Amino acid sequence: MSQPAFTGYQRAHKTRTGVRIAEVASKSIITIGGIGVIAAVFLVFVFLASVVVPLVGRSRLEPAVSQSASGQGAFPSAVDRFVLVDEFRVAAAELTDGGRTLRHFRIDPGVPGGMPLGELPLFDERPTSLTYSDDGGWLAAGFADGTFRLGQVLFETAFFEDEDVPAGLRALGEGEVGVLDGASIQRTPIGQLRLQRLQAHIQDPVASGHAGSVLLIDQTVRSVGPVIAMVTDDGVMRISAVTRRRNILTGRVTATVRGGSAAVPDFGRAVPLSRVLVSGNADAVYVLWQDGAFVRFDTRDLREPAVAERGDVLRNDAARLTVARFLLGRDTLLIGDSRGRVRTWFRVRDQDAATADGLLLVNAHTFDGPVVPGGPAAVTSIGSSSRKRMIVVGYGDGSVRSFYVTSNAFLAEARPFAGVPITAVALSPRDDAIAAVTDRGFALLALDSPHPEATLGSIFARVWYEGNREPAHVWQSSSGTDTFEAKYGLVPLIFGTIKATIYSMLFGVPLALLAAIYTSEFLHSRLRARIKPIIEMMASVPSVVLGFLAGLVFAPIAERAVPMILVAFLVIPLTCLAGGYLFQLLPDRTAVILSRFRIPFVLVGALPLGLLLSRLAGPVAERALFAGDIKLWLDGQIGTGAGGWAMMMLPLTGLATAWYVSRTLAPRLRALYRSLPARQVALLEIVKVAAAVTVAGGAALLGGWLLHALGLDSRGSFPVVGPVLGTYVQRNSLVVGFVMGFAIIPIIYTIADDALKSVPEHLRSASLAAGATPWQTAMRVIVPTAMSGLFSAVMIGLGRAVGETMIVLMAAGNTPILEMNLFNGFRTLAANIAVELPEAVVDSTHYRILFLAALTLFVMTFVVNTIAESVRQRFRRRAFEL
Amino acid sequence: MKATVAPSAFAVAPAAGLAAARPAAPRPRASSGASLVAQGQPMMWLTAGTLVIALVMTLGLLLLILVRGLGTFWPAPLARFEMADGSVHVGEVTRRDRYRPAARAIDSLPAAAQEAARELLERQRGWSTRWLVRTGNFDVTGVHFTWVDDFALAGRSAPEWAVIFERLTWGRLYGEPAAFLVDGAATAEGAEAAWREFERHHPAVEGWRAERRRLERRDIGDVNHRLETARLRVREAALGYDDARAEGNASSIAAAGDKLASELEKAASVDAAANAEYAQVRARIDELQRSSDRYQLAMRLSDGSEVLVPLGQVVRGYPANRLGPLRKLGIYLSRWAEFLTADPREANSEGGVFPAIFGTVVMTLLMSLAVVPFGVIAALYLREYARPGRLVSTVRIAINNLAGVPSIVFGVFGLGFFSYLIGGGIDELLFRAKLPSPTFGTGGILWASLTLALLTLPVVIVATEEALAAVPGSMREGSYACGASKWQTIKRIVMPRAMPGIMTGMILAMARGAGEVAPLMLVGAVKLAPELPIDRYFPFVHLERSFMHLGFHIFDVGFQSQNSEAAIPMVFTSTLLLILIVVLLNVTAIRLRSRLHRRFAGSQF
Repeated sequence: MSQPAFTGYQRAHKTRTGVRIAEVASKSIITIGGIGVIAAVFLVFVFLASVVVPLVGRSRLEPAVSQSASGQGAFPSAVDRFVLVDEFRVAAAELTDGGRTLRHFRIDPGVPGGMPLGELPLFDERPTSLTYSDDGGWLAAGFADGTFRLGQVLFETAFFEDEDVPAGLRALGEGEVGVLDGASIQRTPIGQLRLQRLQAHIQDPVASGHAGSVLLIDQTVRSVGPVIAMVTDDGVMRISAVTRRRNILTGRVTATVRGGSAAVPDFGRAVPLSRVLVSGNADAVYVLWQDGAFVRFDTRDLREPAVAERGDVLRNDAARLTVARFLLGRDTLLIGDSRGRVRTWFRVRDQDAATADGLLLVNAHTFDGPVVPGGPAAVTSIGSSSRKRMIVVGYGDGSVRSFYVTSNAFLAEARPFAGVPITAVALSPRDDAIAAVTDRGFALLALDSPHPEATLGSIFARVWYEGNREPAHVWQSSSGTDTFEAKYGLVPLIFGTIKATIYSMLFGVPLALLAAIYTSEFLHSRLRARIKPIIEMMASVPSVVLGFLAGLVFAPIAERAVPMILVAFLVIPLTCLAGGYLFQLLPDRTAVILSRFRIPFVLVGALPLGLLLSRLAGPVAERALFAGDIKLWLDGQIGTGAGGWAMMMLPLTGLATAWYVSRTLAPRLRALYRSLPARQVALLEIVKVAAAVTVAGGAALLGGWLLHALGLDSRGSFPVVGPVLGTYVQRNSLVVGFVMGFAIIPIIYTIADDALKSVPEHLRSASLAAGATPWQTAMRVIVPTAMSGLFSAVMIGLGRAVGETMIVLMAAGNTPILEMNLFNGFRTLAANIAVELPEAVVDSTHYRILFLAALTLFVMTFVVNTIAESVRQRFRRRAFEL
Repeated sequence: MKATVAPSAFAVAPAAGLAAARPAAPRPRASSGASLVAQGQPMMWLTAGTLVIALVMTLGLLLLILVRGLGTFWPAPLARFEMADGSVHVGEVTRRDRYRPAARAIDSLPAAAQEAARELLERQRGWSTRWLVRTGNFDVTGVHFTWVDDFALAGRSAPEWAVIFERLTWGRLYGEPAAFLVDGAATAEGAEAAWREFERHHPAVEGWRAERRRLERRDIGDVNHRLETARLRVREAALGYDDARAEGNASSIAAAGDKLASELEKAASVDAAANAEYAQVRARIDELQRSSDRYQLAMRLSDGSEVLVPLGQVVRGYPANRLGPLRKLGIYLSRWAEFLTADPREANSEGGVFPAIFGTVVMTLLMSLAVVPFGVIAALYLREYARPGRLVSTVRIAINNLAGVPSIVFGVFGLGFFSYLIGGGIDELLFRAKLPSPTFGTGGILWASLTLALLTLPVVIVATEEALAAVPGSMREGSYACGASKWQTIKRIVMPRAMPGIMTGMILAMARGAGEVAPLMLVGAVKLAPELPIDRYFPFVHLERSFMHLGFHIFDVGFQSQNSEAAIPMVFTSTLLLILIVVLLNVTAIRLRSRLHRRFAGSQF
């Protein structure tokens, strides 16, 4: 080394080059490596956050293509003007000519001004009413002669190799578009040519059963066939299921119509009719007027429609209804009005409903439109996504807004046409673009909204899901049906995590702390050296083992011995205490000798006795408190709430009694005891504790009876936490609390014991020398000094309980419910990740929300551990100073 | 001395005793009542009770696993239960249980037996004993287990010739041998003669089965491997050709085309050779199959029907009630041997767990290969090179806390970062021929090891730092005084002293890693992985493969198996194995640590 030695002497030897190189190399490798490793560890946090961040990213809506086009002409008001875009945003089609024709044109960036591909005639006659559904392209049109026609409009896709197409198209590069007899053709990334042809399959006319005009029509397509709802000009609502049968010999298709009809009440009102709408499984038909009045028919029996409910979807204000249609799934009504609002309405089951079928239409969400000079712009058209509960709304001022219905979120807005009303608007099949049509032209807007269903509100606050009576916290990420909506509310999972933590800490913390106090203060050091490693070994038992035992061994046993277990939590501590009280009766000399054998006494005496007593008292308690069968009692089938109240009040009355005894009674007794011999004091103490136990138990019973007499049932639901005593499930919190408590005992025990042991020995000696007993020393000197160490032990145990996965996964039943019920399961964040992440699609909303769950866990435990660690560091410094 | 004003609530205190105490004026201090209370005996007993409960739970749990785990393979006797309704069950009693039967249960008995059943229940005060009997014969009866109630029982016996067969499919079979058939013709009638024939022929059939298995696995495996390699090379050449065409360079197109053509040609020849070889191996397998199919044993089941059991189906068979202790021990040991060395059968609920043991060990070793060097370097940096200060102590606290971050979080990270991001990138670069089926882009043993390495990094860093801190400063100063450089001091003086501590850290990390399951569920542990991560095919170590793990095996068999009642004993054995591995590692670490502590006692907090 080249620095001069501090002694001032010249060094005799030069450092060898090899040593010098090794020195530099080792320093740089270790520094770079060390910093790299530490950085890698923090990468975990950064990476998790980077996956989560796009969830809350803003949606963007940008103009992509705009074309001017010929006007669409005049349409009857009952004709749904619609526009559709193909899946790859190459071509679009819009309804023109009063509903008789589809105009088909290219919209790819290759032809900026647009390029017509042709016209597709649909009907010869002008329809009087027409309905089109974005989800499947189903079309139904009614005519003035009392007939209706059904059909489907869609882009049909075919693939070609280069050899099969005209030479001119072979030169197309990737993504480029050409035209092959009236259809668009595009080169795919893997080199094929994809042809997309607009097709309209229109079936033959079917008679509605009335010779007059079909005023309004709507259609739902069930798996067994379409159902049509109509209002004809005689004031009758007709609902018909259409089945088509092809004759194998003649090839002729005959349509059979089956259904019923009902008169529309108040048909002759001055206000014109707006729409008829039929729900997804054809169990309801809505007839709406332009002032917002509606009639709902119950059509569960198609042959006998009956008026079920009447009301006003505009909530009696002066606005006029401009657009009415269904959201994906055809259950939620979307009602647009002349004041720019879009309201959603759906049916919920309500016992108090005055309707015939017990269902009530409720308004769940309201979305506001833009405000222009002169008031809000009217809603002129609504488009609904065919995959999500996302809508796009066109307004009278030429602007377009997109919303996500369930999360009540405004996503994005654009104004492609200033001042011209949007006559039709639609989302592309992949929800990546919005097509808007006005009388002046067509515009395509690119929509970038990867996770519209997730907002902070929809993840952490109550969300009003379709068909629910009110907003709720729900986690339900998958289901069997197509129109199912994933519900990503993390609150039930966080609640489950907290529930698991509370119950396991309730069991584990007292046990671990008291055991640590005994180990460090009263246990002979030789025995301590034996016992401590055994409990520490428990920490290394893999949690999958504990989970397996909990789920497959303890849960079935616990199921048969619930009362005994509940009683044991009370009786075993009491028998241990009783051992101590009886021990006090012994003469001093004997006591000193025998106190060395306290552990064996507990092991062979108090503990087995406690178990035996619990076993005997279990059935007694079950009969006395739970009407003889605790499971039926928990289920609410038998008995009254008094027993449950008594059980819940016992800890409270017990604590109150103990507090009273130690605060008020004990100081008075001390004066008395000073004058009494030990043996009598011991007897008095036994009487005292027996009386205290009786008082506490009696007070609990009395309190339970009083609460019951007030008409409260302990099995009922409490605010925030739900029911605490409820239906018994085999894999429940009692089992998890026990086993997970068991899992955190070793870690709390070890850290607490270390903290107690590191209280300087001179404090202990001083206290004993001043005449304090070992118990007084422990309670008044050692424990207060080590309090921060004990606190950090508990915090670290808490961190462990929060993140424990396998035990919960295997023994908690994994139902995401929001109740503290001791006898029901729960689902924690960690178990949920383990169950669902392997099946989540990469970068989907579900995937990112699971990452959010992981990040939440990470942050929760990191914060808890940091608090614990800094408390512990401070404690160490203080312990040194003492 | 005012004993007379004792509160009336404690009037039970014997007044005579008080009176007697009064004359002994200066009482000895030790017997003062106040000092008795000060001793806090009851509370000390309570704390002792908690310690005892913690101890009893720990030891009880280990004992439970030990007993159930060791007991699983001991051959149980067979019992024959004749029921009051005339049905008969033969099987092993797995569990007994007491319960209160409902009145309906008795009403369903035949009228003649109802009286006796009522009487029995009355005698037992309404309680009934029932046995869970493993009756097997799933292919015939459709159930594995039957509950037998004592009040519905007409008689119980231990049939001498009841035989247990562990079969390759359909689980166990319980019955009595009736006849031995060769080529469909009976060569021996009656239980004893048929059984003798069975024992004479079974070893040979077993040998054929082993050979067949070897042929299937090794020879056909070779053929498949060659075919797959050839296919991948063709695919790769085709991709190269596509790339060249996309580039549009004429000469490279021609070269790629030639390569593709030659690969296609090679593949065709490999195909032909492989097919020929396959046909040959297949013929040999069929021959073995034919020869073992010749031997059958007719078994009479408990319901009186007879079934033919081909000897080739039987893994192990024994007449359970005729075994001496030595034979029982033999069967016990052979089952253990199968458990430790064989592949699983029957959805993991029978057979062995060798792939799981192998997977656990390889994964743990790979993990320690990754975690130890990095952990030690990080600890050296923090302790020896970084300037101590607020930043370093913050980093230290943060690393300490990482040990408390739930393991599932690391699993999430491993899946997203290693599997999808890094693995997906590697697939794009190197394994295009196999896409879209992922190679590294999904869970695998490498990603699992790295994930667990990250998880256990804090353990190694903390242990190493502790060990480095425990080396007394005087030794370092002595070394510097002798003229050694910093690196020389670390290498020659500090590291050797710290070695036991580093070893402790490594072993603790291995123990934690071996027992961790939650992250593995996300990054590569699977239910069944017939291909081990190390095998005979180039490059011999296949780090991308998913693997079986003992801990995951416990979860899977216990909670996702159709026949979990039959699987529970198996799970206990797997649990025992896992605990043995983990506890052994831990005990080693604890002993190392205590040696270290003794050696450097006092130099550390």
